[in-house]
Amino acid sequence: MIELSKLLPPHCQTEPSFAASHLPRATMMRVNFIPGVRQRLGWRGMRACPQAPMSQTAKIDGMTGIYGIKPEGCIDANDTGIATFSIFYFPDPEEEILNQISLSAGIVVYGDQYSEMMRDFPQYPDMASLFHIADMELRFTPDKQLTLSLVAPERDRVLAMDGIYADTDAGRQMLVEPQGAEQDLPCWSLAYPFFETVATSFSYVFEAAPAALRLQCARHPTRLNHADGKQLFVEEDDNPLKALRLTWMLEDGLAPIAEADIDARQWKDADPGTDFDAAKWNNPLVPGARHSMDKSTMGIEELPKLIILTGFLGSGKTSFLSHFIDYQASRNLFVAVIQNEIGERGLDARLLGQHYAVKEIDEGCICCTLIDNLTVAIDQICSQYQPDFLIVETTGLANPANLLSELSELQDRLEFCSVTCMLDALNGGAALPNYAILQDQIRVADTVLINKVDLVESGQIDHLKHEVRALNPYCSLHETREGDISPRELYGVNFEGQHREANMEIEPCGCSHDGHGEKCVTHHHYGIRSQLWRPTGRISKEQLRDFLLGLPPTIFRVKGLLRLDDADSLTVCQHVPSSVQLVPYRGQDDPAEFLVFIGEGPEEAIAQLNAILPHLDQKQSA
Amino acid sequence: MTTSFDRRTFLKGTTTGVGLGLFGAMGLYSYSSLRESFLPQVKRKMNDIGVLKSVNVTNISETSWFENAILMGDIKKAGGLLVNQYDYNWPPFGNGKGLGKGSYAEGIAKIKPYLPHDLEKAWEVISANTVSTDNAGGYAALLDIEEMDGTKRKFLLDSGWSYKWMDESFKREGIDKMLENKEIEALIISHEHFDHFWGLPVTLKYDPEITIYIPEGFYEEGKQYIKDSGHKGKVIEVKNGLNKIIPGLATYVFPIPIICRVFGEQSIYCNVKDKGLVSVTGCCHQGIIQFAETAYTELAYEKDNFYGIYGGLHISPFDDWDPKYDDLVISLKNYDFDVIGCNHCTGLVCANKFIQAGYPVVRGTAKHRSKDTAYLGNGDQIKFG
Repeated sequence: MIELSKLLPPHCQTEPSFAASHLPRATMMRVNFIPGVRQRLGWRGMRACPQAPMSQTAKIDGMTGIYGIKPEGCIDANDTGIATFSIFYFPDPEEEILNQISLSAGIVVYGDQYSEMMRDFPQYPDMASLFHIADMELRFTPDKQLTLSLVAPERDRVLAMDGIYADTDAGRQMLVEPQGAEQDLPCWSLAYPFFETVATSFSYVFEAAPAALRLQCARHPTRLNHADGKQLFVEEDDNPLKALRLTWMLEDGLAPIAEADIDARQWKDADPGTDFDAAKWNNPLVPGARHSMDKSTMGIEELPKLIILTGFLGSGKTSFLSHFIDYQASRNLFVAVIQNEIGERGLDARLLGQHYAVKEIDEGCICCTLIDNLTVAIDQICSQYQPDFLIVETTGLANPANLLSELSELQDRLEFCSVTCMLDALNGGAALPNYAILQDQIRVADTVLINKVDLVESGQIDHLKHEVRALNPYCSLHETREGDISPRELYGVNFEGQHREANMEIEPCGCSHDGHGEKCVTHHHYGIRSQLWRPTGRISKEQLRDFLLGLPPTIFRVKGLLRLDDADSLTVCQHVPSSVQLVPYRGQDDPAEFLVFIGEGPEEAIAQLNAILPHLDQKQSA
Repeated sequence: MTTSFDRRTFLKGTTTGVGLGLFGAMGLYSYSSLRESFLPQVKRKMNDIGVLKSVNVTNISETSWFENAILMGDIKKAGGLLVNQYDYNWPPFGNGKGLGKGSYAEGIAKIKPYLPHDLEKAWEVISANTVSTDNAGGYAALLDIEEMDGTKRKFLLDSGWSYKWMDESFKREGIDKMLENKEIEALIISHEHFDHFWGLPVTLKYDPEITIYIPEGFYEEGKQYIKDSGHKGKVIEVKNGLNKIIPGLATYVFPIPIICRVFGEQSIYCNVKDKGLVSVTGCCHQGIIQFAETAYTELAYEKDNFYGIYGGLHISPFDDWDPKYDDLVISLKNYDFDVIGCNHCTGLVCANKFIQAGYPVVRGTAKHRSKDTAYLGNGDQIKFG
């Protein structure tokens, strides 16, 4: 039996059209309350349109554009409530699809107002109609069944019978040849991933896969536009309008009833074949848990994400943290901050056998001061407060390399995400040559934030960037004011930004980075260096693990992306002395494989690794 | 496609350089959508809710719980944000079986004999049977309205959570006497959440006959709790949309899904003569932007001005597809409120951002366990008009 009351209050059962019109939004919002669940189902963000809150924009896994969903109305037909929704797809300006969408839509996409208008698309119906790709329909018969349908043409075609030309500086240019397609949009394949995500969310909250699937086809006209404004329609057999209807049964033991058509189109049943056998909505749910809508039943046991935040006093760590906490708190995520400084007051508590002191508990965060053992403190904080993020904040005195080896014991209980270093644009340049500890902080960082950029000349920032690049060519570099940067922009949705190779927008110290020349030697007076390695063959998971665990403690970090064994997918590799973490890469792109070695003598480590590889090469070619 | 060039490249150049005029008469058609919608659209209109002279809001308590970490830990350990709030075993509904294993029926059975007259005894029983008992606080506010003819009227918004904390807070602000003297004509419940609604017996202890407005969307447990708490007055279930209560004061119910299996929030609009619209909210789960937009499209108000705000300004938890727009601070600027009094679920960091951004935030005194002067804290007042 499906408990609709989890989604909508009891009175909705007696108002079928109200329930039908609210169910998609209620389902989408409720699954988005839980980060692990929304990730797993395929959601990558959602927001209500500010001026039309029943409409929403959303991002889903695997698609670069933004979807829009807008209710179009609802009716009661006998005892069934029927609601319809329009589905829109607003492509990213870099998508190939821009070559297949109408010129009018293309002009909107490259206009200044595109993202503003998209966020509130129901306010601009003319604009939005250019991006309308499908309809969704929901029929709800209380105590009986619920049917969710996607209705979209395979392709939407518009032919410019007289062609389309533009007068440019280079003369008259033909944009669309006579009788050519101005629009040939693959509506079905654009709309289906969104529909699949919505339907999977339904299956998840209902704890049931659909009991019936029906595919129907009708004719979809191609529009023929003439320069005089006349528009004709022709129907082509190869381009149907398709309707995919999924039915969930609300009571056990009932058989699905095929519903009557409510529109004038001539629907014919079609054979879905095996096309939808692998659809995500069919996934059986894990039964048996008392609270079904829970991470463990989804197989999602997220570990707290660990960020090590370094930087000298006054570099802006506190303001960065307050922005970070605010951002996460507004998403129902909880942050624990541990300040890794043993203060004078901490000594009394240490005598009492405590490992940390709670300094502050606030909106979305707990802030603790470390008293004694860091790993024990982290363990206790994690079990007591179940944070989503754990931030270990260190000031100028701590060497992050030591910290990393200390944290290696926690590899099974934390997801190692980032070493982030704050650098003060105003004073950092002067401090950098004088403090080896600051150089070390930069050397081991994944991300360096140059803060207070509003207080210095741009030339000074460029200089500082070169200095940072010289110490760590592989970190990502950002400029901030008052520590204010969106964590999503900084780390990416799943921290995938931390695992990729940084863009080499700045050449370190003016020399080419594959042959550090004589000029660079001055940067190497200190023992820690970083070096990039690219695989020339495959290595197995065990081999990599054994190799990394065998490294001397003078190699502080090894991180990067690799394909292991014969797997197609990428693995994120995180190593600190005597600890290795290998987790699947969750980014949507396909970046190059690499490892970065940070420590004293990375060349020797790389030589060891290369010594393992040739053997593999032979095996693979054999 | 039959075109041999990259359309993107061409269009990029067009929109940034030459402009769109060049398409002029070259056969660029305007489009209608794939097909017209075949179901009718609902028409909406502006509503006159009347005017009042002034509204004074007293913050009885904005501290819904004392330690967020404990609350979040409980929610996670019980199974997450979709778990039915009556199952947590939080006060007052405890069966002694531990976190996430509670039920309304078992919890209420233990305390019903003491409701609403003996809350001390009830709280003893509750302390023995619930989890995180001392973490409960509550949200409640008093609205003092002056009508145009000088008549004074009082409304209570929400009744908090912990019987103990709310009774202390009511006494501190003199709410107990106002209720006993029948000076408060109605209790408006913003939504069914534990921290706004479960302290109901504290109001009923002093005035069991009080009229209660609840938003449409309450679950059976919630409706039963009103009866089980010893309420003897009228319960008005407000339908989604606008509900006029007295001249110049209306509530609006938003059909919005909320965490812990709650649905629907009721917020208050006051139309203050010569000043403009004042919004008083519980949590504002619908989002302040939606709340303000609804007022804009549905209400007529003085000088067409957004005058003031009091209460929680809940930030939408899902706005993550575009990092550029994830900041409520930016969005709020568009509404140009004259007075902002925020607290509760707004988030202290957010409130401090409002102050940094130069918004007219009314500072609090950080008394009675309120934490920061960026909030209108417990016992603070704000007058609109």
